[in-house]
Amino acid sequence: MSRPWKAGGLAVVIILALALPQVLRGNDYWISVAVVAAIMMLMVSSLRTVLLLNQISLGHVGFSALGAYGSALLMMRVGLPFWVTVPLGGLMAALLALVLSYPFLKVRGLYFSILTLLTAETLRLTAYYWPSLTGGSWGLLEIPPPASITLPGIGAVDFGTVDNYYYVAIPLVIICLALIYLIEHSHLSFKWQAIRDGDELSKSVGINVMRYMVINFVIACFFAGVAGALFAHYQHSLAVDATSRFGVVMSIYMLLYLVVGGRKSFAGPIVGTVVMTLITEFTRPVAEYQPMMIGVIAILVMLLMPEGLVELPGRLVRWRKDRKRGALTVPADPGETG
Amino acid sequence: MDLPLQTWIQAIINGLAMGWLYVLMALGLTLILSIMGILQLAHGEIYMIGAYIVFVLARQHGVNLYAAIVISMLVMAVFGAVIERGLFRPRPGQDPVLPAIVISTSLTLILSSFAVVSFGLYEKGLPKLVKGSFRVLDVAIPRDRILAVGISVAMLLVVYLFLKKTRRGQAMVASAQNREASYLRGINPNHMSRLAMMIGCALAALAGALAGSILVLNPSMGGLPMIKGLVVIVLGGLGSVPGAAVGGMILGLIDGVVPVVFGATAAALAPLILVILFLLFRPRGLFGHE
Repeated sequence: MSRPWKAGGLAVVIILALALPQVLRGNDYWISVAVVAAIMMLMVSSLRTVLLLNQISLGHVGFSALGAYGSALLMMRVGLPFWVTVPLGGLMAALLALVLSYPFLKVRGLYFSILTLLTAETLRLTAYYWPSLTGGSWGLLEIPPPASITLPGIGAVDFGTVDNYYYVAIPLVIICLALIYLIEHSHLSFKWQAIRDGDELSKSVGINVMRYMVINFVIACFFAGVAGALFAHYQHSLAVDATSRFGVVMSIYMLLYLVVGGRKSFAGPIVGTVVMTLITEFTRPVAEYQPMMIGVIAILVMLLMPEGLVELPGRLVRWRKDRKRGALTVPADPGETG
Repeated sequence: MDLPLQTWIQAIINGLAMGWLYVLMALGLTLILSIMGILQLAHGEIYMIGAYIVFVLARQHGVNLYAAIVISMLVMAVFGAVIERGLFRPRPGQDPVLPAIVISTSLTLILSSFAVVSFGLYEKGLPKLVKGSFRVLDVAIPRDRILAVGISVAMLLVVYLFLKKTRRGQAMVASAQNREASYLRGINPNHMSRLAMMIGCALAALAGALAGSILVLNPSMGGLPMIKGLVVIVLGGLGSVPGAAVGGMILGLIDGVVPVVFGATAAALAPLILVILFLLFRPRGLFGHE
């Protein structure tokens, strides 16, 4: 797609996102679904950042949990305002990532996946067994929303309500996604690509492989932490039992959303989250079968469309072109089925 | 530490019993990882389903517990062969790592929600392996835990001897060391993958059944043992049977002893800290090769 098309499409999506509460006026349920989906998009996008280096993190949710608890506790115990605690939550996650990155990235590959998985479970269990700080198995309750602000002409705006929080969360998510996009298209991306395609070769041309991998992991975990913090102040309570949002299952969902949407394109996490959220919402009556359905969908996408749903339009176009050209021509791209 | 001897012994026995369950999980995972080069993240759910099969047979149909465990192991071995062929067989020209992670995590969701739908969320119990306890130095030692450790040790020896002494086991080792070269010597890597998956799933079913008998059954019982099994691979070294045994016992003893002595928070943090120390000073693990 050409540039103006992309920019126009982006503007339309953003305007639609901001107008959504007006369309759904009064329907708090769907607005809250949209808030959670937006936060999920940020988490999945940050997971994709790690995958840019072909590293698969199975513990990304742990960094979200750290951001969530960090931000909530800073607000409740220290009394810092929302606008400070959310980035601080992200920074806490980034700091942990920085500490862990050297030993973890030294081994890489499947070991990295195992270690991130262990990290998330460790963080979850630590929160669970530290009741004086985190509320333990009861969870952390009564996390305040952002303090209300007074705007000229409108008066006091209370962010405790769902549709007002929407206007806090959505712009922040959009800003974070934009930052991820910019980072992905900055000079960093060339180094990341080089490392992904061959790290011995990258070393030989003078790229400090470890340094750029650490930067990548720290950035990804920062955004995961911010997403967690946004979630904490939306949900007003946090829990870390095995079946909660911070369990291993959530890491699985994040990975599956990413793969279903498409891991190679920036739009993948967004498409994946929207599609999977809609599927989840419309199958609420058979909630106990939901994980099963999501699992089956992910397996089918992986086997039949390994590039994810974003690949679908391109495939349809190619298919139509091939049909127009007639059946006699050789398939355009024999490597495709390889 | 002024803890009574009884508490110490109890903690160590519990730790060893848990540890050997991790060893069984790690053995399967390490076979699958070294031969197929993938993470089987549904291994915990194989463990859970294996335990529920024993539950259905022993509790609902009155089959003898040990017969039920053997049947469950066979059923899960066949299941392992089926998923290896249907889901994990690598496709030419495709890097198998990400697909395997995605497919196995999807399988995790499918199997655990299958268990929730069929058996409910409530905890269930299996009959005890043996009843009662015996006394050593005036300390009561539960027999079932000792028997579970004994069964696990025996199973580990069987796997070890199979890999060292039989033609088929040697073929598996060869395939793990060098897939292409062993192919040239007439070893079909796909058969080796199937065998690894079958052995792994049977061991997981056994571990699940033992866990169900010592502890309780519930649909999310498999998550933690699977993670611990993977961590054992990091500690013990990839593909090493003795490494799996030692690594599993270390993690088990951490589980058993650290909460009693230092509290639950320390026990939650200990494995991660231990693993980081290993990665910094001995990244190949205890018994790993270059």
